[in-house]
Amino acid sequence: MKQEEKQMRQYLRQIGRQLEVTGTLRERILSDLENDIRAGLEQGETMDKIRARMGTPEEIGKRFSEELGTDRKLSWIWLPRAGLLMSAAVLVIFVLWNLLTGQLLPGMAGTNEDSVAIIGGADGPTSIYLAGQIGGSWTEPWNVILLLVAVFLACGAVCLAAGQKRRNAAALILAVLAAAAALGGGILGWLSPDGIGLYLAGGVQNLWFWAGAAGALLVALGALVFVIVKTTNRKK
Amino acid sequence: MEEKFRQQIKKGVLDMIVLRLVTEKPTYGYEIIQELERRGKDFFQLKEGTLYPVLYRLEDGGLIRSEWKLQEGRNTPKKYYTATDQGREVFQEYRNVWEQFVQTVNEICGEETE
Repeated sequence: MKQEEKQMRQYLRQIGRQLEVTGTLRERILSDLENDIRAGLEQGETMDKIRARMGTPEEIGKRFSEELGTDRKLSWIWLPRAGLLMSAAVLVIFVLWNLLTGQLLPGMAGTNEDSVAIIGGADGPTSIYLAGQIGGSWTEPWNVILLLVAVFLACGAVCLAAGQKRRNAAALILAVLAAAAALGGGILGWLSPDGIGLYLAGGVQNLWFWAGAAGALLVALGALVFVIVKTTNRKK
Repeated sequence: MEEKFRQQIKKGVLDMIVLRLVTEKPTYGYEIIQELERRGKDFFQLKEGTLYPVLYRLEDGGLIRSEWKLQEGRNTPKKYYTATDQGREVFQEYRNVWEQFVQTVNEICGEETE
């Protein structure tokens, strides 16, 4: 019986991965399926026969999705997930970049003596802010607001993507784009330290900061939505 | 074409049929599937992914409830679904609607008089 038990657990795990639901509904389904499999085993069926009868995990997951209509539902859990992915990507690039260039910000080397003097001694966030001030355009409020709105819309688009696999892909693309923007801006600033590079570098420094902040905001927002939804569901 | 038609009408009555089986005796998913295979001729070959959403709908609507029962000779409890009083009442209502419905449809689609 031990071998059957192991195979049952494995089968249930595989099915669990194919189910496009989370939380209590998921537990409900898995416990009912386990109940049925055990009943089958008691009646003398082998795990092979049970698997043949019930179908592959993919078939089972697909049918549940169709009948429950979960494929079409908006998945709000992706709001914090997308936000987290974005800020993680941006943070990693930021840290790596600072390690590579030491204390200096990209694009600043040897051009603007004053800013280097000010910035050289400052810590991370302050140096970002100051670079932004010198860089100029990105600290204007409407630019920042525009950026935050763009980030929010992007994450919303991820939530709307139908199906687990598509949402995974969309969130990944979002994270890669955020990292590329951060990296690309930094590289541009480094390549052309005078003129446009200066502004870009300053701007991108702020982009890193604000994207990270936006990501953190999304995580908080998503957590809030999650808690509200859960408490209102419990009242049913 | 016929297959699609079968699927459509099956979907319409599934709630009523599953509810009926649960009112007959406390039962669980796999047993319901087996009963339907035995008594449903070819019409009701259900998979778990089709049956459980129906059971959950009935349970969320208060027509059936589930409980874990410990049995002899088994170390894990078994989950059974039973009908509530409301469920039994609602089933009677469903059946009345169904009978009127069948009668009306038969009259409309009945023998062509010529």
